[in-house]
Amino acid sequence: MKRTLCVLLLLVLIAMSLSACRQRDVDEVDTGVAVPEAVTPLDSSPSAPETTTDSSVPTDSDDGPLDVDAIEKELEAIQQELDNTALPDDSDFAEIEDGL
Amino acid sequence: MRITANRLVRGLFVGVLAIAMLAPTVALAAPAGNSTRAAAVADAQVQQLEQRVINALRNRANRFENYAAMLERHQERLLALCVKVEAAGGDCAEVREQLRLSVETMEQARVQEQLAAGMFGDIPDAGDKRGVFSRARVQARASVQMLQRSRNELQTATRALFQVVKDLRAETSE
Repeated sequence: MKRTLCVLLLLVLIAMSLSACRQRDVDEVDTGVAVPEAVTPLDSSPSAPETTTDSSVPTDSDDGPLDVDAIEKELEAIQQELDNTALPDDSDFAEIEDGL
Repeated sequence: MRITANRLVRGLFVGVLAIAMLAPTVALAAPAGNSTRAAAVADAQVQQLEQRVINALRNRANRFENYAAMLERHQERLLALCVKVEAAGGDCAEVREQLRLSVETMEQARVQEQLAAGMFGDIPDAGDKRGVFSRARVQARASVQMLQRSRNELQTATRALFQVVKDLRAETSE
């Protein structure tokens, strides 16, 4: 008797899991998209060049008449960035020198 | 008594023979083990140095390219402004010449930097590691000097354009 009950229970479980699987397949066909298992983070892009130009500096638009004030301010901003941005130096190779 | 003496002599002879045969083997085996260990240590050091070189070159390439990208962005922008200023009657011949020089020097800086990177890459396998490192660093300094020259030429171009715009303003207000 016990053995029969166990077999019956097992059969019911198998039937339930099969119907669940079929339902999931139907959902996928309906939406055309499989259920995502995990969200993979976007690959980090190579580091963009550091920019220090102030976005508030007016830039002369390419259309319309020449805006001398805007050009002068833009040139000042460029000059400032050129003055202030540090060049690469020997410190980049300190790691190698330490390992020698 | 005689038999015991014979046995002792025979035993002694076998013992001496065994020592004579084993001694060279042991003597040869000991240095071989040491040299294997030394080679493994040397390999590990070379690998560690290779990793250091890779890291340093990656960081350096980022810094170099960031700076180069900044210069190129300004070169392009100045060129675009030149077109506008010329359309309004300004003379940008000097600005254009300085920009051309700046672009040219920038290209040379890139070539120099590639050379330096190659020299740094040779360090792990070199016999005279310190010597190769010193020469590579000198080469890297030369590439930075070119970068600096390109920057100076761009600054000159900026100042020249500034003057052209100033003259244009004066002409307009007259």
